[in-house]
Amino acid sequence: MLAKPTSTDEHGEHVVPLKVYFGVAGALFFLTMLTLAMSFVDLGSMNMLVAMLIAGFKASLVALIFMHLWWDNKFLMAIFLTALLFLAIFIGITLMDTLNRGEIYQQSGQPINPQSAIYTRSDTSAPAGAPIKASSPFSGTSDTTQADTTQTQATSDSSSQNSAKAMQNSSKTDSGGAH
Amino acid sequence: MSSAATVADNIQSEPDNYLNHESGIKSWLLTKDHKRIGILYLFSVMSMFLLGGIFAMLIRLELLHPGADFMTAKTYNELFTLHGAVMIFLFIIPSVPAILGNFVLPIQIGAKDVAFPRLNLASWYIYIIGSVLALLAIVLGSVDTGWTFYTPYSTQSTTAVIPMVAAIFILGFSSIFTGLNFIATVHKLRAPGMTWYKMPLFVWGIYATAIIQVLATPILGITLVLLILERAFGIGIFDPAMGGDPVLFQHFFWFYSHPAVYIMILPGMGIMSELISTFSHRKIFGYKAIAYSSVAIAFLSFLVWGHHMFVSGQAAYATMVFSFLTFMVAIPSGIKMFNWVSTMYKGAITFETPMLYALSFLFTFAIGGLTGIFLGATAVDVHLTDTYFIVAHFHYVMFGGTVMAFFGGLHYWWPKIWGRMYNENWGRMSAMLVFLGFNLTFFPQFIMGSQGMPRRYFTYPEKYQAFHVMSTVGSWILGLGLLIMAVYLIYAIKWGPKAPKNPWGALTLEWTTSSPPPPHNFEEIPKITHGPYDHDKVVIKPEKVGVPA
Amino acid sequence: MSDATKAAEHPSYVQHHFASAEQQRETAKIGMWVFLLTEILLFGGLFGFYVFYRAWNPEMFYNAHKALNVTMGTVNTLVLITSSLTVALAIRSMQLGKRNQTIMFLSSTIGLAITFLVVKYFEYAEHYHLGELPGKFYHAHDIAGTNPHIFFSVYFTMTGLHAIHVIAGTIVMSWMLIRTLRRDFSSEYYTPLEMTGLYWHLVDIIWIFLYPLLYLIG
Repeated sequence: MLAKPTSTDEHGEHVVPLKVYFGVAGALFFLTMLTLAMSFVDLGSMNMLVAMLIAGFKASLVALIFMHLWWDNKFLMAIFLTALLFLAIFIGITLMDTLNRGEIYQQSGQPINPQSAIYTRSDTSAPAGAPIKASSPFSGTSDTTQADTTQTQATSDSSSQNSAKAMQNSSKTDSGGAH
Repeated sequence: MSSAATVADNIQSEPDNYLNHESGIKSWLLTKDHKRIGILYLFSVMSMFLLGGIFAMLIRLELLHPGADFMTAKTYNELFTLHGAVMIFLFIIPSVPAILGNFVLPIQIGAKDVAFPRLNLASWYIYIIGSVLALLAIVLGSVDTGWTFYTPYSTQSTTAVIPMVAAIFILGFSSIFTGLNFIATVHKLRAPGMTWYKMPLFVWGIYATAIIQVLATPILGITLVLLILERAFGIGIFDPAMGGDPVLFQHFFWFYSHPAVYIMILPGMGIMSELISTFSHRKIFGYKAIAYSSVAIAFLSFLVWGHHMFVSGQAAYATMVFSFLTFMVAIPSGIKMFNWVSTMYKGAITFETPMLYALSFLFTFAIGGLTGIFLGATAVDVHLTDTYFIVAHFHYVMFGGTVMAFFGGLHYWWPKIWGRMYNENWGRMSAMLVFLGFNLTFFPQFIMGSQGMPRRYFTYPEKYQAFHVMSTVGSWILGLGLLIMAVYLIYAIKWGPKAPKNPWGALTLEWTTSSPPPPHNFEEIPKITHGPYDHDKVVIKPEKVGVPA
Repeated sequence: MSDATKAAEHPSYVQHHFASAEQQRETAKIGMWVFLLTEILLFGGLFGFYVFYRAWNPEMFYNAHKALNVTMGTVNTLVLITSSLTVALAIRSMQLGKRNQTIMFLSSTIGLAITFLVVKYFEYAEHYHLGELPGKFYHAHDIAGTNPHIFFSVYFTMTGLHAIHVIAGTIVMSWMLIRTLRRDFSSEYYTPLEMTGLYWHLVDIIWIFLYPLLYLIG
């Protein structure tokens, strides 16, 4: 066994020089303190971005050097990046819902065609042909608008039962999560 | 290699194969042989299929008449929940990859085993532990939330949600490790000359499935953990009273569960390529298109989960995006369907049992897939969601797709697995009963669903009864067909006529080795001399069944 | 082919279904990286939890995070970075056949991991004492904003899952130490060590993100 480190060992496996390892560790230490320092500087909404960029750079150092991705088959790096990609897809597309939730609460359900046949009733208290006060369960977070959320009158008509159920479904799953 | 012919009586001496190489229960429970592990999965997974099937029969029996017949509404809720959970997590997700993938894939690429044989065995044990815990949950209080476990009901239900959800969490690891194993196997253990484009399309299908398994299942894992924490410790992530969001659960849940349905169908599609090509005795049409479409489906499947949530209260913007992407994901599946039909064109088609199942698939999966497109349109889905239309749609793709293909594959590879042929006449008869029974069970459900019959409902107005009766009678025919299948397949294991190496005249590697294969799959490292579907260049006469090798 | 050649081509540590040690090692790397992919997605769900709720409650998150001890968080970050260095050095030493160095570096890694857990324990104890707990257990008083318990649900699930992985990693690392002492590894064969190292680095990477997200908000 050779005493001095070589760049590859006798089996052709790459050995990282000590300098590189200690250099990376030093950089990681420095970047950690940098992140800490930056958190005291008020950059508004950029703070998060800066912190994530530095963290991303640190993670890259660990992945490329400590985890050897720089020298390995590129396929392994592809596996790592794929994980990040799909995570980004999950969070990104879900944000398309969670960040836009507020809009729904402003919409009030309006009947598209007040004279439409689906509103004609045979045995309800409302006069025939009158549009349903289909106020959306999402109309505003306060209770001031339209306290009587008459969904649909119970009828024996199954097709309107269907759309009623669809609306009831959505009201059941209404969340209080958006602010 | 083969044992000496020193056998008494009329017993023919059997060459050394993976079945007789070692005996005793330890040799099975501690095996590292992918073929034996496939068989371990076969028996455990099909037991779960039986359990899920019994739940289904009970549901259909109850629905013969409106109102309570022989169970309470709560029991009914438990039955459909358990039918879903058992069929999805304990049967269909493992089915093709763990049974047929495990057995066939290494042989098809010319390998001696999968990349990590011990991990493979561990996957099976994890499956068993998850199954036992699920059974315990069923017995210790059951679950009535629907297999989707939607909050807030799932956090409030007094049933045994935590044990069941914990069981599914454990089962998820079985799926993850199986997928991990196959990815490593396909990348590193192909025989010399077995390039990516010489691999059978079944391997491509399992590979694409494995990608989904490893990417999607962890999200299910964390979702279930969060649900357990919510239920046990009230962390408030899904509880509106605590500032949480129940719809968020649905995002987490469906981010896995939509790709999960592609975990179910992709292996089935892989089997389809094998069956259609072999039994049309013709080269597959559009090999690369089918291969790439498998990977495309794997990727696109991650972008459409919100189409399960059109009426959940998610933002309209998200709904639009998901609807559009849903139409996209149908394209690669459509490509495959056209390619299979094109393969049959001008082929010399024979109608053995595996082909009957493949043809069934073409019909039933087409219906299932098309109805999925209807549902992708938000305006339509708003009316049809949570009706029997949905129930019919997913049974047409899952049963009419995956399970038909699975049965086709099971029959196709049965002679290879056991070295014995099943009875072809019983096979054909059972296939026709299954086809007839399946369609009679589920087609009426499209109609009553579009007329407003809601799903998961214990009772219903009189006007739907005719459909329910048809559906229930269909389930009896289906059950009969499946029962017959079980009988003749199991019979064949011990008493079927001996199978030759290549009863079907197929060209993939597994047919070059003996039936059953030797312990290390091949006597010597196989040489790849032709592509997997080169029926135009190579003609192999199917060997006669029952003739001693 | 002579027995000696066969043995050289198929040393005892190469499993029967692999053609060479090289193939076995490459395969192990693929397997471990796919496993790390699943871990990234598992934690990823919790990162999602963080993102969605911080977007909904930005001020509350800012206020609540002040309850975290930045000094301890920073110390833990440096501890984990150092442990990544030591495990990388441990593997490097084994590549060069220096078993004693490997033992020293592995022990250091384990020691640093335990240090991390001890610091974490003190942090958790402090929160427990002040009632800064997740969800329905929250009963602290001095944090402004709606539903401050949400922040602690996020904090405890993320750092809790991370701590579980630190514990698991420590156990595996200890097993690797035992195997090294038993002379299971050499400069020719150290794959399990290498794979354990990869796992450990991922645990470090996850903390590299947790630290600013939780401790250094704004």
